[in-house]
Amino acid sequence: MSIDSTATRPDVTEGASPPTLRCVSVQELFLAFLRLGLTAFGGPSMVAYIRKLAVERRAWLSAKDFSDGVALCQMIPGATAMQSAAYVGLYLKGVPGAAATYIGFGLPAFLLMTFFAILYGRTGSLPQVAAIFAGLQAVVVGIVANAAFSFGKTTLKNWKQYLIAAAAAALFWFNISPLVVILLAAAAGWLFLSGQGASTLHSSGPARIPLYRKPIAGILVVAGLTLTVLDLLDPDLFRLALLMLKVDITAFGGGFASVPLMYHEVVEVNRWLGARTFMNGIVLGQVTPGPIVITATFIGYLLAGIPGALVATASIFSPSFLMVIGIAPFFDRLSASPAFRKIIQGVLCSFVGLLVSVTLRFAFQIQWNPVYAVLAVGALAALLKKIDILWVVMGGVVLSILLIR
Amino acid sequence: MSETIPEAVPATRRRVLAVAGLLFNVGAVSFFFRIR
Repeated sequence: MSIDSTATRPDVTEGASPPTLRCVSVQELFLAFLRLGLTAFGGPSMVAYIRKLAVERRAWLSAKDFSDGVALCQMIPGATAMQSAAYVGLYLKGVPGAAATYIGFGLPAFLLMTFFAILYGRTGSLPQVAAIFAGLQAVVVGIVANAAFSFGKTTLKNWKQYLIAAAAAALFWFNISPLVVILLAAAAGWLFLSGQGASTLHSSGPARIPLYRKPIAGILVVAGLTLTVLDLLDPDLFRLALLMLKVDITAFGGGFASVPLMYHEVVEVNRWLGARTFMNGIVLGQVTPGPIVITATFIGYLLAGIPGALVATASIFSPSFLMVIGIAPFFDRLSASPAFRKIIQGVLCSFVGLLVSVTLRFAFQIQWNPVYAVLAVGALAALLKKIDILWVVMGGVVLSILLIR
Repeated sequence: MSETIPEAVPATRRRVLAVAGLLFNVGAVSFFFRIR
């Protein structure tokens, strides 16, 4: 466990990074990522913030090693920015470092979201709040439409991929479980796709990260015991934990991929929350810093108070953390495997479809009027123009207050 | 590959966004408190 990875990095001077590697403590890593986590507004740009901190300002790792880490995080399920933070910690200080950067980066989002969820629980039904959120639900349609578009633009390159995405959208629309859709897409990818361009990994392979067997086994044992105790103490919390674990394990392609999965499980299968309350959670996930996945905290709180928030958050973030530390050592071999690349490509295509389908579902929840239409189209247009999502939501709040009175 | 991840974000834009985001969060929390 106590592998000092900083001392044995022969490749650290490669790439565009400064020539010397600065020593760093786990505590220093935690504080640096805590600060970043408090100010990281901006969706996919968060990865650029982490790059700025870790590669340019602190010179903790080379540009190449960082890019390889991001390629890993994009290929495995889970929120890409959170996982990139964990990768930096893992690279520098092994599993304790990864835990420090991961928790540091996610903690401000968790605390803020818990706070918002508490206040929402107490004021969400008040007319003023409901009116603002009603306008913002239209904005959410624009936001998710943009996610589908952006995801599609970078993922779909040929007609076969479009076909997989369209089939996934149709299947999900007719209430086929996303898990089945993903598996079918994986099979279709394996059978029909080329696997070309599925990875941005550099030819020389990623940084040599050792496999931390004991910490991984330790985390799995603790997680298993916690789940067992949870099942005995509170079966509802146990179900919430299982649901969030499932969402995280299957959310290929970054944070937004979790939206259709979470929606399906929470709103459609279990009917724990209404669709509009879920959409309000998405809004809050956009105005708090950090990943969109933090909506899980909101859901957990509304279902079971602070314990629910804690269980949902721990469950939605644990698998993706384990995947970073478990898969990083094998990533060069994995990403070189044609079968793996084809399967991942198929799965990512299906997520474009899932996002399109969930955009339509969200759209059907809204009682459209000209004002809402302007909000949704305006949000989509602004995001396509690369305006940061925070401005879009803030604009939505202001317009909701002004126009909906 | 999936989401489009920008290579870099200008420092000014990042700072403005951070300040605006924090102010917005503080504003939203105080709004909730006021109407509660």
